[in-house]
Amino acid sequence: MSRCQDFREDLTAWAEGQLPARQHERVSEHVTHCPHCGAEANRLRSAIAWQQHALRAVASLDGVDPLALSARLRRELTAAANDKAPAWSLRDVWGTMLGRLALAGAAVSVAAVVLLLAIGPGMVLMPLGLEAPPPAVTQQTDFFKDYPLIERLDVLEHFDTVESVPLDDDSASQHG
Amino acid sequence: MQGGTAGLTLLVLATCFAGPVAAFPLLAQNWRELSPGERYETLQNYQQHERLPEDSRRAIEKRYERWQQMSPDERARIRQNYQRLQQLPPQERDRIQRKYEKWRQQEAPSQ
Repeated sequence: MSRCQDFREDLTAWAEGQLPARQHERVSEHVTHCPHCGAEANRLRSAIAWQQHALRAVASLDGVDPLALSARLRRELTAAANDKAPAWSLRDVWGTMLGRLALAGAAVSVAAVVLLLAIGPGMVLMPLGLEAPPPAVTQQTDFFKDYPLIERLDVLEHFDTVESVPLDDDSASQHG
Repeated sequence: MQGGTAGLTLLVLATCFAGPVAAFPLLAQNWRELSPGERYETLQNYQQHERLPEDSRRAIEKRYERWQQMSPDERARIRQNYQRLQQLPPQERDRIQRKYEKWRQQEAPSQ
């Protein structure tokens, strides 16, 4: 898989159209898909256009060697482009299988830490059997397991009777 | 001495192979029988109960005592009613609660 750093070294030559066709195509494809290198390529194109314009103006002056000046500018542009290239990017890491696994592992770890912080470590460890629950829970497991039912026991006991009780808004809606 | 060592070895092996649950052999059987999801919900219910004021906690605990004294048939009937209630949309559940409050007020003088 390609790395931005490899392409950055060829970027100036690519912008000036000095690369062999196949290499030029590879860089073009990368620049199209990589936003960092794409932005850098745009900057280089503008700089080269300005350079060519400036060189034409300078070449008309006496005592100036336009070829030497052009070479120096190119060297400095290449050095500047290389300095700005990131050592690595998420895009490059995602490009490798190992990188994907590492990023997925990191995402799972972050999610696990967030979950642990959000609900407390006990609420993760106790259900998994890695930590003993509070004594009240082990002594009255049935109570806490059926808690939602126990809470509504009165209603549930008389459910059929309660269901048939008319409410005031029932008659209002019938009349309305 | 040898018997003690063998016993200790067996205990260590049993702990290793039986998984983390075996590390707490004194836990009630019911808790160990629950799935992790059920344990999580049970713990949530416990926390909810702990947050209630004392009188509300006592009221629910009294209901539980009543629940324990019910026959298996009565419990089954109530569990069915609970399933019916759970299947209702939230608005309908609120209506049932309001109906119950009204019914209780009507019944109270006669009780």
